Amino acid sequence: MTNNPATPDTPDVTQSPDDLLATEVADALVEVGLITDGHKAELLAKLKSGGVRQEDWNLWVDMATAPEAADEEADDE
Amino acid sequence: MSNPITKIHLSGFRGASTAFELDLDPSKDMTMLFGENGSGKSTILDAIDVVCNDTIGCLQGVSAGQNVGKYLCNLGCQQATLQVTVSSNSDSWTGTMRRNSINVFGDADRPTVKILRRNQIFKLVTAQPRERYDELSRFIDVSGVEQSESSLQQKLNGTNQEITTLTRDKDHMAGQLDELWVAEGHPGPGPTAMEWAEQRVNTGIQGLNDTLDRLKEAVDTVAAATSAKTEFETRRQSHSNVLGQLDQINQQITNAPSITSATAVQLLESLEKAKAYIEAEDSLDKCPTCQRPMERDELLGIVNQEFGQLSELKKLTDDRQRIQGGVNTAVSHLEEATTKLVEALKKVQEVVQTGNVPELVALNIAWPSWEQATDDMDALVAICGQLEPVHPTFEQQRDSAQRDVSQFNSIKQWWDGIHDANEEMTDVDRIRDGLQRAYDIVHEKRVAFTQGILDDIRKEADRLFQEIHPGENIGLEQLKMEEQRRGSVSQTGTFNDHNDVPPQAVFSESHMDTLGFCVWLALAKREAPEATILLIDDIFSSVDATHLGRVIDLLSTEASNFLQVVVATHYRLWWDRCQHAHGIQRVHLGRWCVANGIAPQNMPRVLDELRAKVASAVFDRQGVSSKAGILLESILDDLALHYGCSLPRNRLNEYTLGALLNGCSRLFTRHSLTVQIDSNWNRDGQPEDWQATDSRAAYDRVNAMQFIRNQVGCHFNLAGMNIPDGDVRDFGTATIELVEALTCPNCGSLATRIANDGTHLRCSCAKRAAHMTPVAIQ
Repeated sequence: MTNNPATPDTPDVTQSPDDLLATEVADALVEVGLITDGHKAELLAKLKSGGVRQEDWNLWVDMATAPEAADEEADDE
Repeated sequence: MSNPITKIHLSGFRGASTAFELDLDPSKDMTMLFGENGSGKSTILDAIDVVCNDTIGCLQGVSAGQNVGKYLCNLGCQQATLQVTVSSNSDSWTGTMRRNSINVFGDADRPTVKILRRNQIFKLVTAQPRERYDELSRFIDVSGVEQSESSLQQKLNGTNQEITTLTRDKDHMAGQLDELWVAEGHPGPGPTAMEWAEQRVNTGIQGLNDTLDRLKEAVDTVAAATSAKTEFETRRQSHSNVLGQLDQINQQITNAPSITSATAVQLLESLEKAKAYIEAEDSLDKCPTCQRPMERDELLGIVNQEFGQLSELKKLTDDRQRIQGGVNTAVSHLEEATTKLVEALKKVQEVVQTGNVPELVALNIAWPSWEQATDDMDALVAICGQLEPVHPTFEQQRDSAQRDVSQFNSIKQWWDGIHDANEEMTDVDRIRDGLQRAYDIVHEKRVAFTQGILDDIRKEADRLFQEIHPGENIGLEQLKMEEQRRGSVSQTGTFNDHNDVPPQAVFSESHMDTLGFCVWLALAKREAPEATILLIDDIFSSVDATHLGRVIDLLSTEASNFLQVVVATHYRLWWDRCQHAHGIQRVHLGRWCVANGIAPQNMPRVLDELRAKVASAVFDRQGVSSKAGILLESILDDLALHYGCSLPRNRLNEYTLGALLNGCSRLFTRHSLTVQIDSNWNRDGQPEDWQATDSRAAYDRVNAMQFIRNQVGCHFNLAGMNIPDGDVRDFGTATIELVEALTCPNCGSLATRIANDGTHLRCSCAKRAAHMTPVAIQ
């Protein structure tokens, strides 16, 4: 934080734009239930590197939104 | 943690034809390198750039043949003698030249240095959108996420295509089913083909298959019986024919000479030999057997006659043998056909006895006793005759049953297909919806992320720009990623109430310069400014004095955000404006020459000079009076200009000290000009402690002694000589007190900027140690 009110908060320069955005995206996808917690780390790593393949998206979304997954979540609750 | 640069040592580098050393004061917010063109300012900044950034300084991009880096070496020096050392309090880094390039040595991480040269401004504001993106990419390059978003979009497109295919296939099957349903006359149970199909499928195929099997068996057994009957009749006819032939040949043989066939064969062989002998003997004249004289041809005729009679008999015998063989075959075939017919009819009887084929039962066939059945084959043939008329009916029924089965299979296939497609579509739809939502999130987040950063940069750059161009109705309106072109950033500006205009097309050169500077500064502020050293290399050549004053104020304010700021300028205005500033280290570079190299000069602040002169044991009365006068004119001119004080009009806008004091007098007498100083301004962590200065008293004292400036400081006259040193010293002291009472103790500037709450004026430095009221006068 600078002592000058006109200066914006300094972003974390140790993280690349890809790192920052990937985290934001992964959090949002998990929050709305399109990705399970179990896949979040893999998603994050692949998002940053541009390595998410079509099959990955299909598998992750399928597993997160399958009725069985919803049932399991309900059971957990 | 980076430390500011404290010392620079150059030898043989660029303009440093002689060894040059410069100490930088890390306690100051900013260091100003002032000098006329060619004095070595850029050499100093290049040295820092080369050592800290591994560049070739301002030679970057210069067209000067190969190995342009060799020109970093002073033209009169050997490369081996080049040395550039940049030091902080704890570390130092040294660059030496070898083979036209500089290698830098030093263990510690080098400080982060960003340099702005005039040619770089254009990259930020006038370049093509793609080049502008390159300049901004370190903040907005999210190619990893973008690539992943692209694969998500492809998967989404593929899934949509999959749904289209599934829908098309399902519609096709539903259409087929509907067509059949219509053809069948819209049968129930409900008003749709699917309900009919479901009922059909639920009914199952077993009944249809049973019917088909039953009819197939009936058709097959009846067909086998009728076929066996046909074969039997054919065989019986053949048998009868061959027996007739045998009778005929026997009759012929009976009528032929009585000779056995075997004898006939022996005779035939003898005759063949005799014939061969006679034909071989050309001169034969008697019978070789009886020796009776006889012509050869006559002998040959006798032999041929005998030969013919025996051949006829032999043929008859052979024919009878052949026909006898045919009789045997015909008997065998007839027996087989008889057996087949019997077996076929037995099968028919079995089918009749099962009762599965009522149509057969209804024929009321009189079945024979199978032990003697062959005795009356005509009766069996007659049974077959009963069966033949119903065979086509059975075939029609079988074909109809076959169609029913095929239709069932089709209905089931379509119904299953539609059912499966519905189930699959439920799954694929779910995944598609998920992928679509995921894509929307990724896309929106990415666009918002990059646009958010661009907006932040734009906002900050425009804020800085407005500080330089207040009320000019001009600004940076938008930075935006171009949707149609990847990796491109477009910019728009506002200009005199026109929005969405390209700044590069309508802004003046100086506006573009200041805009480029503001964008660069805004970018620099985003990257750990507290650990960043800024170098600004004389970039404001197109900016007029008024705007340059604002640039100076802006930079003074912003400098505190950064680890260190070093500015090079050839503007004396800048130098003069900062003469009172404590927070700025001023370095004056004198005229450069080969013999002396870069030549820093000691140029103290006027206020410090006056203080020194007032305190000096060897009193310089003229110098004190003169310096005091210059200082008063400078500060009162700023004050009068800010408040719009009344001054006598003159063509050159040059005012005497007396005029300025008179013009400003109302500020002290009528408007109660008040300056407050935070007495803890230089004590970090201490609460603010605002104390009002006695500027009115200081003003009155100076006003009362203003004549000393002219009489002692400017002219040679008796009146001046009569003024005692004490009075001159008092004038100098009063001047110092007035300046101190009116200006910020940190930056030395008047507080002329309106505070955010609008209640007072403040100075422009980061300490903001001075407040002044009123904000304005009527």
